[in-house]
Amino acid sequence: MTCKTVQRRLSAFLDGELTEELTRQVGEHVSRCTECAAELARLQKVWQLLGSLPPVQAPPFFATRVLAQVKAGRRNLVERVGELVFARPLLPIAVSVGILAGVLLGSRLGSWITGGYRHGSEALVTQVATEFESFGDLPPGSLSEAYVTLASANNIK
Amino acid sequence: MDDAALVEQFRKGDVGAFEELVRRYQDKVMATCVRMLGNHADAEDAAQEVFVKVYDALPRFDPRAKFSTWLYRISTNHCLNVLRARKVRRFFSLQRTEPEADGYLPSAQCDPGPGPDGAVEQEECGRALWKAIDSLPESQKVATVLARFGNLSYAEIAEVMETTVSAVESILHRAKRQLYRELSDLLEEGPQV
Ligand SMILES: [Zn+2]
Repeated sequence: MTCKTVQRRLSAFLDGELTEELTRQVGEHVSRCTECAAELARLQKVWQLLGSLPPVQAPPFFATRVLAQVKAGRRNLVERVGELVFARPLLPIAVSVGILAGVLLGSRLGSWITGGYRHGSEALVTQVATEFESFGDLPPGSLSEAYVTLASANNIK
Repeated sequence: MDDAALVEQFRKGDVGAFEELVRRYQDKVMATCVRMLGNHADAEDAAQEVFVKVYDALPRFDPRAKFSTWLYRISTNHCLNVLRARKVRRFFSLQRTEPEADGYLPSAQCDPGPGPDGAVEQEECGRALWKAIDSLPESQKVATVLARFGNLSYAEIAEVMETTVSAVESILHRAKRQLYRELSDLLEEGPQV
């Protein structure tokens, strides 16, 4: 193998992407050619430097925000097209979550203060559902409705 | 449940399956975007936009294709578009300042030396790394990010970039040489790797 051929394969050699036979040939050449060995060291250095960067993670609640965005995006699109089927007013997720959290907290505090006259998660869910009803009719297909359905179905603990 | 099953569930209308795909790939997409765009704020916007695109396009996704390959293709193409828009803004001088490269600090090799210059050195090192990656032509940039930060094999990169394995090999070879030229000062004077 000539130096030129070897140097063209050095990057793949480093990444373990060569066949066994080529790996052997390049390795052999590098072990006795200082020029190609120096080139290999350079590529290795720069690749290691990039690899030393800290790992990246998505921020907290990333998925939740993506879902909020696709829901909002779909609403905008539908509104633009003017399809009335889906064009019911949707409450922003934050409001729904806020209401649910508030009701849950209220219910928990309530049953704690009254000495737990109702027990178990079933009672809690009944309470949640009852209090939700008192907010008035929820628009069918809205997020608030979905949350109530979810709360009733999942026996929130 | 594997990706293909989740994609199938989503196509049947299960948004929960989409959410699971987001959770499964959010770190990988975010890492791709940070390394291509150079900072977390731009990367976060881009990563969100990528998943919105995925959501919109998933019903038309060919189920025989590999989801992760398709996702990486959308991610890198989206980031290239963001970079092109950035260039246009710079050309018309709408944006004079370079975006902060915050995804490049701190790193083991950017260790601050002793003394009051340490922090400056570290910042310069981070900026140099980002500039080196940003200096690469588009295909080299994409291949570098996928290989180094996505740990994709050459075959997988070839699929994402819709090219051959030998083309990927040559793209990455040129990329590494270019990166070395850009970073040679740092690599020769700085702490030994
Ligand atoms: Zn040689």
